Amino acid sequence: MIPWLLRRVLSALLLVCLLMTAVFFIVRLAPGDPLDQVVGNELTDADRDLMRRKFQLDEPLSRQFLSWAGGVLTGDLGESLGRQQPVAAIIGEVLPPTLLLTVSAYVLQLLLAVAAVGVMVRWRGRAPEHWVQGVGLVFYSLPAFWLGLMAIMLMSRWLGWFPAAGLHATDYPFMSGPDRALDLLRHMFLPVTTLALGTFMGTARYLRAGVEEALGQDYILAARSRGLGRGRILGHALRNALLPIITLVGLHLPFLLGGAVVTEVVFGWPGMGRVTVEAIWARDYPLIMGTTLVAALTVVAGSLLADLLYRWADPRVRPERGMSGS
Amino acid sequence: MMRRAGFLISVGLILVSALGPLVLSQDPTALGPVELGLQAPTWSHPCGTDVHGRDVLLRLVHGGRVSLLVGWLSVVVAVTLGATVGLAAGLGPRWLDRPLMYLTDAFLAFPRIFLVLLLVSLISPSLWLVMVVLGLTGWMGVARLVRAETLSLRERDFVHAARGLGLTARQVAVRHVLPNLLPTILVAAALRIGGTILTESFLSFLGLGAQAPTISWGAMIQEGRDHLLDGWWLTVFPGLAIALTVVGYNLLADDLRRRMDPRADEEAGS
Amino acid sequence: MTAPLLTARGLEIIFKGRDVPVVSGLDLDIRPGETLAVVGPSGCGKSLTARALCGLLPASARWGGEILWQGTPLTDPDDARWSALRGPGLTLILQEPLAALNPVLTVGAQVEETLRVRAGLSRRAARARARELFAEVHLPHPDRVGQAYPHQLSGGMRQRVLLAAALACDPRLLIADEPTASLDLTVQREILALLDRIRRERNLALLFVTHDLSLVPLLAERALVMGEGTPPRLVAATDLAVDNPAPPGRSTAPEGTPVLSVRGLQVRYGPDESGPPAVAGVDLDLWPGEIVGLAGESGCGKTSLARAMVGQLSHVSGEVRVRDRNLLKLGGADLRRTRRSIQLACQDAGASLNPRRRVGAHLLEAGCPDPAACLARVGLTADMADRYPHQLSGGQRQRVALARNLSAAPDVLVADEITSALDKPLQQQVLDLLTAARRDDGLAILLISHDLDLLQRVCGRILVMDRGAVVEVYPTDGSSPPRHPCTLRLAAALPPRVGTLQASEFFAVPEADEIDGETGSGCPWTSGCTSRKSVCFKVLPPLQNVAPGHWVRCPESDAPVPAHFIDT
Repeated sequence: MIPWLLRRVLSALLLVCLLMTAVFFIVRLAPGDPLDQVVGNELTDADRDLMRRKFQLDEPLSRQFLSWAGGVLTGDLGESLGRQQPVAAIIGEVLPPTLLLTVSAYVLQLLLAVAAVGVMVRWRGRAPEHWVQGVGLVFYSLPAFWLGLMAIMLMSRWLGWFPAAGLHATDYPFMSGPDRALDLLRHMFLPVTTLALGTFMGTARYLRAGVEEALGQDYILAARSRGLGRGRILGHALRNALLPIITLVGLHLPFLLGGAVVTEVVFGWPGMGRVTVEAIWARDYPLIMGTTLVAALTVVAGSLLADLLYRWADPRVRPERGMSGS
Repeated sequence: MMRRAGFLISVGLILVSALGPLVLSQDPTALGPVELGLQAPTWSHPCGTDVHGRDVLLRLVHGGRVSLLVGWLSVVVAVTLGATVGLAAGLGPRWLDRPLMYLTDAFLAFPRIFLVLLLVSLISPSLWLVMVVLGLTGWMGVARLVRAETLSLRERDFVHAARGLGLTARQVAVRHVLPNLLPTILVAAALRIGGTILTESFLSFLGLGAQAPTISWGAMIQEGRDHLLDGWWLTVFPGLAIALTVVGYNLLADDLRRRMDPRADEEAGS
Repeated sequence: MTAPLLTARGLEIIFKGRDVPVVSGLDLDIRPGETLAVVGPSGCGKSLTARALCGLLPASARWGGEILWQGTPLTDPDDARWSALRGPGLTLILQEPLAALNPVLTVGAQVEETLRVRAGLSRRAARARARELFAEVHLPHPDRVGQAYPHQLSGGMRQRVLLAAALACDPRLLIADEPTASLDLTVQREILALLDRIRRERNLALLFVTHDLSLVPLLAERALVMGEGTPPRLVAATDLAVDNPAPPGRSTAPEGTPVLSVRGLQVRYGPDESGPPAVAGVDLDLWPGEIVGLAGESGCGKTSLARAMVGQLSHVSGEVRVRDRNLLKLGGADLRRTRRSIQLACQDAGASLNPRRRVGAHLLEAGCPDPAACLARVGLTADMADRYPHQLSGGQRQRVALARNLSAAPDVLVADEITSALDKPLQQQVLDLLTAARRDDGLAILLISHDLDLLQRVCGRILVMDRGAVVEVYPTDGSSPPRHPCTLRLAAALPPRVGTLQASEFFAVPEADEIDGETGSGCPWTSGCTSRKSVCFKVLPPLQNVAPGHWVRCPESDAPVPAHFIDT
């Protein structure tokens, strides 16, 4: 078990290094002067020279890369060109909101998927199944950013139930504990729901395929022949079908991060996605590198976690010391 | 009926986008008279008008071309690239497989939208750039799929039997492996068109896609963002257009998938 | 006459979307403690009938007619009645025990679940009762076996677990659908013995579905005979007819040079070729026009040997000489040419045909100049050339694959279990085909099968394999009978011909211990051997020539060791 784990971690780290090198060189090879984007025309030439020296922009690219890489190992991700703040600090600020958004959305979409599959299997061939499928298909096909806008239009502008953007209300620091929690939930509701609604059908599809396959297995037939009821049978099938879904967490992570980008931009959510987009706009290299690195690490860690979970959950893969004979 | 729906919608939309602009001769970018600005849907303007008095429906018809063009072309690029890599990994010399898959996994680990935004923002945005970038970032999934399918096909008894008849590796690949690979590739392509159209619309929404005066649905939504309530038709209709297109292609892909999967014969007893 | 437990009248089963029912006009009744066999060839609807009687038909089928339990009719939408009945009333056990157990739960958990849910027992009581049931079905270590997962148990053990689960609710009727068909012959016998004992002890009624007629009189008094196109009819078990085709002629003693020569063939699986070898050094010679049998239980290495011989596997060492060229060392055009001279016919013929190519294309590719003629040779009509594989029946696919093999004009044909999935008439057709090829083209055939009976009828000599090594080679003309414990086990496990051996004699052999001991350096077959000595535990014996044409891997014989012997 341990040697396998070690190999996986090492290969994951190698992957991250590869990615970082690739992104660094892609970004730097782009035409245009980064400083133009940063402050516009207000810089004097002297100021420019100062900034150039500070950010080492005149050094050969390989030198810049090495010094950046060295910095990463010590935890220093450099300083943002535009915001004049350490990159690590910026990321530290925006990572938690993104995690909050993505994790909540993932859990919600998983629940929605299970519910959808439950309905589709229970009423197979009849009206409720077709309805769920239709609704799911529509949600899957809607542009996520548009769905967000519609949500804002309806729920926020028209009905006024939820705030249109942001993480907190302006008077957040002055609120009491429970009020704070409520405020957070109110702000979370639209973005999380939008993100979940847009993605649950994909999961539901896989889950349903898994459940249908499980239901067709002989052990289900055997269980039914012993008189076990519908609910229990569905429980068995779900249990077996959820196993591959867990591995999908690893694959889903890139999509969720991507979806978070869209949601954050539309809802003005102060998370990594929005900051990345802004950084890309502004050619803020250190910040771009920083967020890309964190994104890559998150994805790689997620897939590693999924592998671990799967090995734990499926007894056939676990090295067991049980009864011999085969 | 549901099965045909996907096919009908997809083909219908292609026809409308291709022929519509030829049939309707008005210029969708010409500014209309001021008094027509921001009008709710009426019989003469079924989808309303925008701030500049332009007819929204007309702009929708023109905007479809962008979505469809990008959708199809970038998927063709992505699938061709992906299938080539997958085949090389699956059928080629053993030492090629590992590094190719490593590379593929490396790119796959990245959220596509990050990569796309990064690449698109580096050079001045244009429609063709979007197509190329989407193609270059979408091949990984296909490569994995094709490789997995190829590897499994390789071990199938009928491939073994073909080799046992003394056929060369090339003959085996062309006559036996490829034809059985085609359905997988086609279905993978169909499934990707919908997603690509969605990504393109987001890029246009951000202003990184086709530039004015070329009309695209995503850009139309961005224009309508400031009038969410008082000009709701500006955002609603383009969004519905996108949704309809993607639904059509998703249904088509589903239908294709069902047809291509060999239907196991009903067990006739015992 | 006691009232019947289960009655069916005019039962009809039809698949949705088809016009012709699979089963129609079926009447049966089963009384308490009685055993009824349901027999028929594959495809006649036996399994469907079994499922219909439990109310568990697949969604794609419908049934009509009447089914009554103790006089009360059971109807389709009345699922509640069926559910209540399943478990304490009737229950079902299936053919493939691994598939019938949930792979992610321990076997104990699955049995206890039934006890808790249906019999309302507490967790503790359920566990205790589960242990009792495991002991009743003669599982070794009944107190610990519950913690194992299905994939950790052998096929026979899994079937016992299923039996235990089925008995959990004390049913009155047990419906068994081919419960032993996928088990080894030896294990089959043990499971049948177990079933027999249990039904007597519990006065359990048994509905036994099988395609193997010879098993019927061992357990049942009556049999329901089903057939394609004929209405089902009830007969007494002793009236069942089994046809014994006359044995074909055997080949004469070999002369000249062998057309196939295998030396020291070894196959190892695993990423670093670690682990025990699947084929542990096999030597074999085949002469033109011969048909030689290769027998052994599943897992003994027969298929690995077959695939290694035609060059399909990597990690193979040794020599396979066809026409005096070593197949394993060739490359390029030489290899391609030589491959055609040794052909492999697999059990699953459908898998060896490209689903996207027509039959005619397959034959042309193999080198047959006239597909119609090649098809005629295997007894198929010329119009089949335009069909795709999935449009043919199993038997037709088997024949097309054979036609393709023969079109390559090979010197050697390795036939791996090509008859196992066919019923008797088709089997005979295929064998006749092979005989004709031997006679007309001098084709040498290695016929692989686990059915020793078939091999003894058809082959000139038989090789027996176990654990990757050849343990015995003996002639079938009766001049020197087999003696190795593995061979004897294979021979003894054959169900007796209908009307010959008594059921009591068949069941009398004690059940083998199924948990294997570790393999040390000695002979691994000592546990079942009647003539073992102390030296057997220390040394792995080589193959020794004990009579003309007869070698045994056993030190018992005093005959001199032959010029080459196999080391493992």
